[in-house]
Amino acid sequence: MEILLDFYSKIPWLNILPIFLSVIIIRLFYLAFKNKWPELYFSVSDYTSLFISVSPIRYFSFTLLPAIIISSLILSFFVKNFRIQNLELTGLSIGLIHSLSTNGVAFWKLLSKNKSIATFFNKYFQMSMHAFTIILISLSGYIGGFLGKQKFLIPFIPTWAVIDNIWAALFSSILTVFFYKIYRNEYISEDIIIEKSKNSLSASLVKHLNTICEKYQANKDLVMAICITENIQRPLWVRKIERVKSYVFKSGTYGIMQVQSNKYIDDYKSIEIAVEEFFKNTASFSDNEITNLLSKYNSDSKFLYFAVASYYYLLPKG
Amino acid sequence: MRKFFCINDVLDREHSGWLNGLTEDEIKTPLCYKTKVSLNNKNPNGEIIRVEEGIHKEKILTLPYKYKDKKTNISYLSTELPASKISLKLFRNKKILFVENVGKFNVEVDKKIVKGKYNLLIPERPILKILNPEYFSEKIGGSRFVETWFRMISEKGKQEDIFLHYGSYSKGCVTVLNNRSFSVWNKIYLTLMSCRLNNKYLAALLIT
Repeated sequence: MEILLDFYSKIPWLNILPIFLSVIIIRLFYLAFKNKWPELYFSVSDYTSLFISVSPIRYFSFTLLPAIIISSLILSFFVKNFRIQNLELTGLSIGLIHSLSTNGVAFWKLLSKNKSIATFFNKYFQMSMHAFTIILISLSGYIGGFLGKQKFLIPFIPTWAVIDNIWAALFSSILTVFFYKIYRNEYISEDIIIEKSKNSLSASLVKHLNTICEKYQANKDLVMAICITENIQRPLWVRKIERVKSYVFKSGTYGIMQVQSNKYIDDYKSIEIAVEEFFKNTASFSDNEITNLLSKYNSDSKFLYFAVASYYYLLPKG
Repeated sequence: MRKFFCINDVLDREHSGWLNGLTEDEIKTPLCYKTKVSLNNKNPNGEIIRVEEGIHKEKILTLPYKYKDKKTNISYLSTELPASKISLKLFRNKKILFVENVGKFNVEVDKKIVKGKYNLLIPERPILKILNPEYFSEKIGGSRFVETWFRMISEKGKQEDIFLHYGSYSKGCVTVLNNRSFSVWNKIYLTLMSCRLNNKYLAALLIT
């Protein structure tokens, strides 16, 4: 305990950042599975929970591995680029914060007989499970910190790729949570998602897109389909976060067209650059040419699926 | 001189070829893709137009903007007016509909429909029947335009409820049948909507 207090009193901001990032990503990972912490362990009403809790190996893997993997990856990045110290204690803090904010809260609710928490089987068994899990998750964070120090973890990956991967992981989690929540309660069709994204674009941005496409004889529906897709994957508020990120890490993909750049560029500029580089003279492209061009622009399968779907949402085949 | 426009930018699945205009009494009036209109005025709520063809001819309507923000409004209107002319032939015995420059399509024809020349009216409203959801899926040959039916007016007889439409056989109609490999109805719809015989009809159909 004294070691921990001593550590926290001297904690530099570079140790706070990985803790913060790791805890958020771990939380998003569980949100994606609609894991209502910590009822997961006992619930039999949720199919995901049931699937996980039916086997102890699966249960502990699901509980502990995310903390180990996420903390080790984030810490290895920070140790490589910022040479941060006390990896094990930082990892332990990640595990502790995460477990206290989930199992700890549940433990407290059970202790204080709070009605907002469901009780299963034996209350004391449930409490001891939470206490045990707090210890195990904290230890997982500790292991994550230990692993993060090891050189084998990211020996070949350049810094920009690691940054991009962290962002990609974060955004994938957000997207997964978004879609999961959408599909959980009611059936919302792909069309509605595309329609919402399309209608959230501003008139001035669409006007700019039209002007640029006319200037370069580009296929408007194709460029619009990409805007719709990227707007689903990285909505305006996420692009605003990217802008903030650009003050620290300049290189990245920016704007609604997610153009690679060494400095921040806005939605308007990203359309100009993308159209000039990729979509000149595509106004009369055939369906096959459109699909090929899309996969050249971004080969990610999810992107491709939604971009093609958005294109044919806008334009009927025939 | 009046400048003419047409309803454009309504081919996405949100609109499926239709745009609602509002009368002065705020009554919704559906206008189909490529309907010819003239622009009377613009205001922050939309564009005030006069319908220049079809069943709604001479109605004054307010059309919304497609996109709208503080500085910019984007219109649904375009200056690319429908101009082409095509001929359609229906071979009753062979159950084939031939659309000039487009192709041949399998159809089901009600026996009551007599041989002769018919004209296809500019669609007046979407047919909002409960249709098989598969008809809307373009991945299996359906079409987003299945709610657009073309009324056939015989040159000889009186106006009856005879339609050229897509889907499953219905009494008194010419039904274009599904082909799972491509969207038959999209092809026919897009071709017909770009054609005009006059300000009432899209094209003529000869049944032999």
